[in-house]
Amino acid sequence: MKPVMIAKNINKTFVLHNQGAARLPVLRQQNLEIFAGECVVLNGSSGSGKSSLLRSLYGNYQVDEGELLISQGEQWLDLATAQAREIIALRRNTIGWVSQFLRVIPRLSALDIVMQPMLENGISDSQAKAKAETLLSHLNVPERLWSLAPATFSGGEQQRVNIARGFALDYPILLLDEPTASLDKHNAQQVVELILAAKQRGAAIVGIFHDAWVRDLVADRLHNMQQAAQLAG
Amino acid sequence: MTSFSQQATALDDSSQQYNFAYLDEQTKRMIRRAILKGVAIPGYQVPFGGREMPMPYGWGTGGIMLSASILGQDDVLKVIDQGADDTTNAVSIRHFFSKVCDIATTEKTEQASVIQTRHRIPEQALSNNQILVFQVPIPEPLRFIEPRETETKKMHALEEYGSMQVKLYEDIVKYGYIATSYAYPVTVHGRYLMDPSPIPKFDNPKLHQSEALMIFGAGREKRIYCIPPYTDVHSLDFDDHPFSIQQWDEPCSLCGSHDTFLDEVLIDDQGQRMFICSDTDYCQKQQAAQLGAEHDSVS
Amino acid sequence: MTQLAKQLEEPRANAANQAEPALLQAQNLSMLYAPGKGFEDVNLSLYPGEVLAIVGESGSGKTTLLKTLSGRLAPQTGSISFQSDSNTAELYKISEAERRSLIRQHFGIVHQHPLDGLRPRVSAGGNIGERLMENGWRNYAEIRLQALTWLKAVEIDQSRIDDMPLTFSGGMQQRLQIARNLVTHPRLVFMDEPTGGLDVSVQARLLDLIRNLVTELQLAVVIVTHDLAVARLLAHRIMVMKQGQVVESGLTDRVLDDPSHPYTQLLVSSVLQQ
Repeated sequence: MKPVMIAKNINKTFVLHNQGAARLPVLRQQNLEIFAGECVVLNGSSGSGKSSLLRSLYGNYQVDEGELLISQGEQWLDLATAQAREIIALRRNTIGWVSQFLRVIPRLSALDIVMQPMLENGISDSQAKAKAETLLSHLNVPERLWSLAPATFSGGEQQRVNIARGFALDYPILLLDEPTASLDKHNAQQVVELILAAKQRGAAIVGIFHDAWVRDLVADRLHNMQQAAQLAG
Repeated sequence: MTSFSQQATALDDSSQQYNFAYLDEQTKRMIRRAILKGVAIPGYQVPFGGREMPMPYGWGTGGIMLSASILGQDDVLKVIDQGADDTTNAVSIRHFFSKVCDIATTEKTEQASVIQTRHRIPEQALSNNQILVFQVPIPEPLRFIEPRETETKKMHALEEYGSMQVKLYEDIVKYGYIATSYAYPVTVHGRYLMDPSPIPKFDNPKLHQSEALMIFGAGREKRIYCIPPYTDVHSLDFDDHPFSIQQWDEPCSLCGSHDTFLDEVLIDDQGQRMFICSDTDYCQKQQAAQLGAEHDSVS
Repeated sequence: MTQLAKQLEEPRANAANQAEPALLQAQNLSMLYAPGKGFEDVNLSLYPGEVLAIVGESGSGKTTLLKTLSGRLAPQTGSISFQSDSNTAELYKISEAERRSLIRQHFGIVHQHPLDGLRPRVSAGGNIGERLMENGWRNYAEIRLQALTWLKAVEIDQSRIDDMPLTFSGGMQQRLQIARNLVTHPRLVFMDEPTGGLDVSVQARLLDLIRNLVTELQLAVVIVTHDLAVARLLAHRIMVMKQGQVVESGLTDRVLDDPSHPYTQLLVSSVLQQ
């Protein structure tokens, strides 16, 4: 079976020019292969570069060396060297990102926020609305909030709106950055169900999970982070 | 040898004699060249070197300079102001030319070879051996839209006239119809946008395919533009608000004409008013014709 | 599962997208008033539906660059080509008449100060309708209908159609300016600090409006701003300028979250955290 995404020899060092050009190595010789229908959990202590690796896989961080290959039919697209617009296209329908933080867009209702990725991919309004409603109720976002802009929602409610948005489209690749952090157990359980369903339909998932019980429920395998700083030293 | 005093006398004699039509010959040539250029590019504003005239700007200096440049010894001049031959401005200009070139003047439209006008075109159709000279206060029709001369020049050069419609649009917004009733903008020969000077829009149709040459002079702004004979002149409008001319409910109180431009005249302190032709020559001719007809029927 | 199959089709479609020609392409553009004043050696491509933010501090040359990109200031060197339908036009090789006509038909230009882009003594409806009339519209009722539609689209009460822009608030004037620009459905819109002089609450509303219009109309936009939050909200890509040089460019969130150039790092770290 062919992987959906391959990370090869990824290196990344932050250079803080305004702090005496301090160099902070964060990723060192990272290698990772991700297959459809599995969930890989990035494992390591705080500061081991889990988040940096996940962000690199999304194109949010620019790696210094190595390749980030995404399967495109017969060909591979290297995210490390891809043009901005290629990455934007990938993000529209291939790589989904779910984090605990919602970047609130002023005046857009919760329902609209969840529907947006579907509408951008040409899914009909009624279909998108139905799916958005299913997701929001699955995540226990009270119906009275759906038509409101989430700026005034509680942190947990905003987070769940964001998760609903992340799962709105059936992306072949899903990147999850602590989606269950600070959720109560019941809601975290609902998120786990979404992850399992995504795996079931064949999504390749890479995630960071703070809660051990969530990790145990969703992970097929762990990717242990190597301490970049130690390796470099 | 002539004595010094003889020379002084000769000098004095000549200085009392104005050159024919006041302007010197070189200036007239320069203005005629500008007119020729204007004729060659219908509706285009040609700059020219305006001269100081013995009257203030706004009294028709542009028109007078044009007339002075084209008048010859055999010409017959008619001057009208708002259609009338007998208003101060018209009378003064006529006197001016009588004095500085001693040519024949007339009040009869058909007898004139050059007609200088302010704010009207005669009712009687002009012929191809006549020239109509307009006095123009503001030659630039786009000035309302665009205050910069550099920009209006560019707009003319690139034929960007859509914004002129905005003025007409604003009229309809304010009044429900195109209320611009004088200085109504036209396009000449399908190309240049032109301000026909403050003639009533009633006269706009007379610009179209006119047999007579029409030349326009702005003294203060120093611009000349022309409509050669038999040129298409189109008044701007909207499909659903087409161009139309003024109409009156009653005929001229003096001559009974139904198809002329009428002035409203107050006749007493009680607010009594009457409508009469603004073209005095035409009105008198109509009255004379009626008298003649009555006379004929009596005899 | 059928959904997934559908999704897997997409990447090939993307590959086809890449063959699509750029709407605007600038090569080796330079325009220097003095050393470090203006901009130097700029290259960029903009594709349909793409939003590009040019950020940098005052005097970095971003507004000058916008002027050149939008056909209003000839560069000293370099070329800009614009793709419309199947024709490519070299912006500064065609005649001025052709360039102005191209700008009228395909470009929108939104000025920082709304009154620079509006006719203050022409009614709101006339301001919106002017572009239509420039493009040959001669039916009053139709022009008016368009004006009403666009007032609504930019959230101005339709009853204000006959009011002068001078009687509008700054935010309304800016929205009117946007309507005036979009009424002819340009493919490319240039904006210079569109939220510049506005109150924060008014800014948010305007940004949201711009964001919606951009998505709905699939506009390509070049927006000049010194506000990184504006860039993050609206732009797909970002270009950072300093003293006339492009020091960094790329995906908006990449440049803002992982800035590599010292100047970009300084800019990003200077933003107050919310």
